[in-house]
Amino acid sequence: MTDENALAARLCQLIIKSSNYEGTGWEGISVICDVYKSGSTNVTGYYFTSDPGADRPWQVQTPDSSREFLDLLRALNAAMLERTGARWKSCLVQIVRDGMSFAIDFEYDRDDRWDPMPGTPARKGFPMTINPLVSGVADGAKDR
Amino acid sequence: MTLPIGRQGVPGDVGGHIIGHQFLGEDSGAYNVVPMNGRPDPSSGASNLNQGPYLSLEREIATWVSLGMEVEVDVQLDWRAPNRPDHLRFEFTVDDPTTSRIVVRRFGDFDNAPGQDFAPLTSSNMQLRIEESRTR
Repeated sequence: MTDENALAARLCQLIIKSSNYEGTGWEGISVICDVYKSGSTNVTGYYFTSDPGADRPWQVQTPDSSREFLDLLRALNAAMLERTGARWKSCLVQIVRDGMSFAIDFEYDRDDRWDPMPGTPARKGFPMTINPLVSGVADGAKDR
Repeated sequence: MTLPIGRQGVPGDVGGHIIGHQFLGEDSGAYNVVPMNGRPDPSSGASNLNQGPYLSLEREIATWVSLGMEVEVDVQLDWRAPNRPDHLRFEFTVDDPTTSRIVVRRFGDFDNAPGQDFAPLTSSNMQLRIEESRTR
C-alpha cells in the first residue's frame, strides 16, 4: 500500500469510527475537505440513508474533529503534490456502508465544486448530487 | 488584560480572545485570552491571524446568532511552548431551533501565524442555507 493509499484509508477509518455518525443509521457518508495553500483546513459533511421513515434522505454532519484528521489531510495533500506537482484544493470523501467501499475525488481548480452557492441552479438538490448511495463509489482514491 | 498576555508570546503577538469578547463580554477573563499572531507576514503582507481569519470566523458565528440560530463552538489549542499555543482548531455547529436540524457544521484549523485562511459565508449565503435546511 502506498503512503497515499495508507493516508486515505486511515482518513476513511476515522470517518467511519466517528461518534458523530453513531446511531444515525447512516448508509452513506460524504465529507468535503478543503486544504488551503497556507495549510489551514475546513471540513464539512453529510450522511445519507435510504430509510423511507427518515426525516429526509440526507442530514448535515461531519466526522469527529481531531488534529489527526486534519494532519492526515495535509499529509495527503503534500504527498500528492510531491508526486504530481499539482496541489488539490478540495476533496470529496465518499463512503458506502454496504461493503465499506470508499472513493476520494480531488478538485484542483474550483473553490465551489462541492459547495455551490445556495439559491443557484447548481445548488438545487446539491446534497443528493454527492450521495454515494445514488452515484455509487469505486474502491480507492480517484486521482486526476 | 489583552496587552500583557500578548507580550507573553512572540514579537508581533497580541492578546487574542479564544471566544470572541462579543459573545462573552470584555470581562471574559484571562483564561479566554492567549498570545495570538497580530502582525501581518512582513514579506508577503498576508493578514495576521487575529484580525484576519480568526476575526472572520468570529463574525460568521455572530451572524449565525443574529439570524436566530443556535451555535455551539469549540476551540482546541495545541501548545508547543507553555505560554503560547502554536495551533488552534475550531469546530462549530449551527442548529436551527425551528427544525432542530443542523444547518452547518464545520471544523478546521490555523497555525498561530500570519497568512492563514478561512472562507466565511456571507449573510445572504447563510440565510439561503437556513431556507435550504428547512426543505425536505
